Amino acid sequence: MTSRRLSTGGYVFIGLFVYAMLLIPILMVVLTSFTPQSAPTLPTDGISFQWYIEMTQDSRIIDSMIVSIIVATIASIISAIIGTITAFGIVRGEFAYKQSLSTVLLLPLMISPVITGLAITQYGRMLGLPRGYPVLIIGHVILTLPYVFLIVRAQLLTFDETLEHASRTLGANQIETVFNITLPIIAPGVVTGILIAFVVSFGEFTATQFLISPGTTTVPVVIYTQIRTGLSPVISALATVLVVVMLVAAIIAELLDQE
Amino acid sequence: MSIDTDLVSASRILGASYLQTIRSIVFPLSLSGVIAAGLIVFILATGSFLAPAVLGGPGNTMIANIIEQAFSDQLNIELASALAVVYTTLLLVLIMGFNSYINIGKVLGDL
Repeated sequence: MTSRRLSTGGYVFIGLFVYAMLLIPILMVVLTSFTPQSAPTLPTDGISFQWYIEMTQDSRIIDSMIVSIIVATIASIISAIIGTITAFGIVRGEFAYKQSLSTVLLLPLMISPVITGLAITQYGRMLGLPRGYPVLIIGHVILTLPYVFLIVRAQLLTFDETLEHASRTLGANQIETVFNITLPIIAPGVVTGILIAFVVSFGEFTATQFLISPGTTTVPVVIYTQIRTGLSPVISALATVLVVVMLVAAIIAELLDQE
Repeated sequence: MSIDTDLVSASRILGASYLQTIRSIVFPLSLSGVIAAGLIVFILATGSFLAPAVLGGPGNTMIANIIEQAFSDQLNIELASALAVVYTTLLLVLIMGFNSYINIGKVLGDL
């Protein structure tokens, strides 16, 4: 019994260590945003909100926040629509190369976003797509599609299809069945998918740096360009806002998932 | 993808110690998952851009950074495209080989 208790202690220690390594850097960024100093140091001599105030007076930061919210919202909704339809096709349909096509859908998750971003800009240019929102949103739909697909697919795999058969037998037509049975059952999965897609899109930098144009710069790109010129508590404040938005979306997704 | 806990109990009843059970039952049965996890991390790590760009020194450039530099700094789109093709081809071969061993979609879907 002693050896069992010791190993449990070991697990707890390793677990705490892993979480500490994951969370302490983020905590540091949050703490340095409250510093009264002009360099991002730990706020040992009092707490100040001046950097948050300064942040709201920087039009570049405010503009980037608006762009980020617009892009993440539109991209996650489009991604959810396409992802849900695709998941239906892959789970319910029977066709050749289904498995391979399913893997291809996951490629944006695995191929370096540098390449995805580069490919989308090049292709957008070839097609003559206007720079700015269209390219940015298409890019983010591609990058977030695998997440929605995986989440909705998992939901569909446990879907009891006899419920749909029952609905049809009881006289409901195809469309009534979709709205009364299918959609309410998969709704939590789709909403979780939208939220995860929102989080991914909101925090995406690597591919986005190729897709932005003057006037449509997102928050992570502003953070990156700023840290290249020097660290400032304003960036810590902006990063904190980014973390809070993503955290809220992730928590809602997690709560929905548990229901 | 889950390990039958009866096997663990059987091993313990037959006299194997806690560590022996992990070594001869739990670890071999979870090996495919461990390999899959390792490969996914490998794939993601080969394509990483941000970590070497922000945390790495001048000598720590990775392929994604070279591609970005070729595209954005040198404006050499052809070189960037060629590098991207080489990287993607290697990656696809790896994913295909991986897929014949264990389905990547299934692994990601089980998360």
